[in-house]
Amino acid sequence: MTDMTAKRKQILSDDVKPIVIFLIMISFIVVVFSLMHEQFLTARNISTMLKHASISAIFALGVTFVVVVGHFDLSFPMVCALAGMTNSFLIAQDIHVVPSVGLGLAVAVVFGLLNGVAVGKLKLPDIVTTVGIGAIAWGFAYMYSGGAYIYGNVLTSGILELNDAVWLGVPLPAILMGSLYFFGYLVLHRSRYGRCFYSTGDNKIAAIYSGINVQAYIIAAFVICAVLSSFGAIMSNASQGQGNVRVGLVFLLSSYATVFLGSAVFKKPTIYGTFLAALFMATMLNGFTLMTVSYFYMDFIIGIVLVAALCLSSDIFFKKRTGKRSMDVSDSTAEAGP
Amino acid sequence: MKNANSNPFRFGQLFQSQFGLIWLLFAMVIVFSITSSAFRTPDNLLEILRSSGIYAILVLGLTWVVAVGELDVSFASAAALVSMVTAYLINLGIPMGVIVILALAAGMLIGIINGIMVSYMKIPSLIATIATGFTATAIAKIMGEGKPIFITVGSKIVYEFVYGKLFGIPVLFLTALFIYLACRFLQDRTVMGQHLYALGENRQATQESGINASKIVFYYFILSSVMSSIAGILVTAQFGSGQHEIGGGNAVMIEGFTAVFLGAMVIKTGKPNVIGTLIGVIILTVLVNWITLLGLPTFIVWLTRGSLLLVGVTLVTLSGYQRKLIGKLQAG
Repeated sequence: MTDMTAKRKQILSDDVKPIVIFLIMISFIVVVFSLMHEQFLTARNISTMLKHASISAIFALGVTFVVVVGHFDLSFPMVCALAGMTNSFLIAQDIHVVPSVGLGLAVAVVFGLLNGVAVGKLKLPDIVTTVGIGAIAWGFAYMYSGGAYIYGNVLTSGILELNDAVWLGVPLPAILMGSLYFFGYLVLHRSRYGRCFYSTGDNKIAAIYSGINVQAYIIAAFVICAVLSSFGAIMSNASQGQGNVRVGLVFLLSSYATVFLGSAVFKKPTIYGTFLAALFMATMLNGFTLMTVSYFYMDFIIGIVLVAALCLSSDIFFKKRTGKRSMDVSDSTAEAGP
Repeated sequence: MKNANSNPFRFGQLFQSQFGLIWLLFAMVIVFSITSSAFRTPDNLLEILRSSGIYAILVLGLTWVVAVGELDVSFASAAALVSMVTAYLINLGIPMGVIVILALAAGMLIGIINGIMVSYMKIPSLIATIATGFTATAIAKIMGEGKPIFITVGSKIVYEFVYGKLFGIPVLFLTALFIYLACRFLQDRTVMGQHLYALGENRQATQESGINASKIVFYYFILSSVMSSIAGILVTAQFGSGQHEIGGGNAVMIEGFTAVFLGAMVIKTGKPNVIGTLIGVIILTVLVNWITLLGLPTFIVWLTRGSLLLVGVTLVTLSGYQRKLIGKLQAG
């Protein structure tokens, strides 16, 4: 960690190669699909693809933060369902769009904090705890309508603009996604905070002794994940024109697949890696959708891509995290924590 | 239940904290029986035992996977895949014995891939099993084009096994109980069980004392998938069709972990163990049965599941079973 600044320049030049690899992969599938289907490269399809890509990319952006601090969050598909349902419910009660989206995200903040405090402060095992908290959020999400879709006021409230609006020829979801990724990039790769996120995930003891408030960064990561996934869910609800409890479930695996595909190529979880991987996955899924392949074949493909990405990245990415060190981490965080 | 797990047994022991959950189960059954006339019918009580049988077999392997400090979230998907394979093969008219072997092999394949990824490639077990589980579910859905496979040929033996009763107790529950007692023997009376908890305590130390830890972890993943495969075959028999999603996918996963972590508070405080898991499964089944009988909305079931899981995890963490195990789970 000492030669961090010297290393940074090195890392940047190292990152050019994976970016090229990704661009080649993406252009390859673009060429294949445009040869197989004449609709693929039309402006209409590209705009549809960008909208879908934006939603799944926003989900994956949140997950990236949690993976960077070395944890897992399995609750976001359920927390975002609660946030999305809260938003739809408030809109159906004739409340203005802005406060209802805000309240939906506020609920997400609460559950993100719960996750973060349980995992970061109370040192409960992250996976099982987030599953439990997710189940509670899921229960609350069912409370509004018993699991039924919420349509009320969707057409008149203006929430649909979140999906349909076009600014300067670019669909609004893509603009939102782009700006969120830009901020994510600034925070994680161009600021002091980003380095603290990475060192928290890399070596908690070292991070604590370097004066980093590890718990705060873990809590922040969980809150970011909950809020971004909830925003994605609200966008997804807007694109479907209904509040759906099951909105987030498809994103659980695809988000992890995206993040791990990105880190497989870039050798660590990064914002740009996640972005390129999300673009890659979205292009592939869009191509298959155009060719009317059923969703379970797409699930199969995502699963295979994830298994392959994991196997490819296993050497570089995971070996350092296993074995003795992970045990020491929780012991000394217990002592060194405030 | 109680007699089964108290071998060197003194009466006073029964009131110690590690038996608290068993008392809770008794209290629940008694209170629910008094307050609800639908709950206390013998048919309902036996149905609880019967339906907890399949769940109990499903999560048995998971118990040991958690005990060695790994996670397996693919168990429900493996069961679903096996269920679809079984139904598919039955419709082809293949003899039952061959079907069982082929179906178990399909489930075992998932376990082998999990084991290779986790213990030899050092991929965090959560991510590895999410990936294999998702792929398995996708294959199960592809097999039935997104729909369950209905069995067109009936089989009396299978039906008898699933719904039959021996001395008035469902055969299914007796089978589960038998498997659990056998596993309890393996866990508490053999070297295998010793290695199991040695790994859970400190994998590094176990490895360094000459035990091939990776190999043992590998076998536990296979065992987990085989157990869930057996449950998958039973599910097919129960529904008369291959199910590509067992009990709503997520629900089974969450219930499985809840049962294991609740069970970790019984008998061996803080350590997942088979008898505890069995009690955890029965407690969950009783609760869900009672909530359903009262006609309460779905979200109550989810709130209860989530809260129970959190309570289980918190108590296990507080009881201090190896902060190491927790740390390892945290690191994935």
